[in-house]
Amino acid sequence: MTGTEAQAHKQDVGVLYDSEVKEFPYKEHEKVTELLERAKHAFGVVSNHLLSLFAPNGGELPDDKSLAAAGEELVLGQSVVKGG
Amino acid sequence: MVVCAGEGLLVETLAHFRQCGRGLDECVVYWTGPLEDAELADEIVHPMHTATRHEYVIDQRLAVRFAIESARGRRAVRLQVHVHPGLAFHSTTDDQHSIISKPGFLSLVVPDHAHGPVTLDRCYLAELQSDGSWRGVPPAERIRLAR
Repeated sequence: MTGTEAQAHKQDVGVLYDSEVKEFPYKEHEKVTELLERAKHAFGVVSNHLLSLFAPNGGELPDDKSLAAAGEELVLGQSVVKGG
Repeated sequence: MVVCAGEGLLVETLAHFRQCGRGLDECVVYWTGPLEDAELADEIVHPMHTATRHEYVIDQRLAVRFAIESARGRRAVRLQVHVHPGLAFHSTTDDQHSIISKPGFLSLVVPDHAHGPVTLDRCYLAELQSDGSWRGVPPAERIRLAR
């Protein structure tokens, strides 16, 4: 199956957060930031604008890009995990 | 949220802070537990991080890998614990960059580079509220250590 064909069959995107996976309907023209907001709401994340979506290899997805290039499994996490 | 753990977990945590921080730098560990028991913490994860006297930072790719491996192992973070050089408090950085951002999540701060007789009542425990703010709570109200 080519990448284009795989995208055509993509129906859901699984997002992992806090050891829980939730499935979100794939919308081809949706931007990463829109799925990010849906995921934050679904997981009950509160008042944190510093989260991002990541590919399983740890690469951060740019908020303004389309989901078309993203894989079917993503991780929701802090853009930077730190303390001080 | 309440976290139940053995006393050994706190002892192990302090040992990590003393060894890794060397009395100079901050350090962080996560108390983790099985998904099947939301209150139990029975293991410590000491993530690879960089640190200075006033900050620790976890490599983002390692944080993502940790999230994936935790889920595969059906485990979750129950408590974030880090050490300060002096007073224990929850800084703005701590407020904004915790590993989990769900109401009820707990973040414990250990004072004085974990040197001296450290007990829970000398630590500062912050709990994430539903409005996104953090509120200090007495550690004994949320962390139960069993002998």
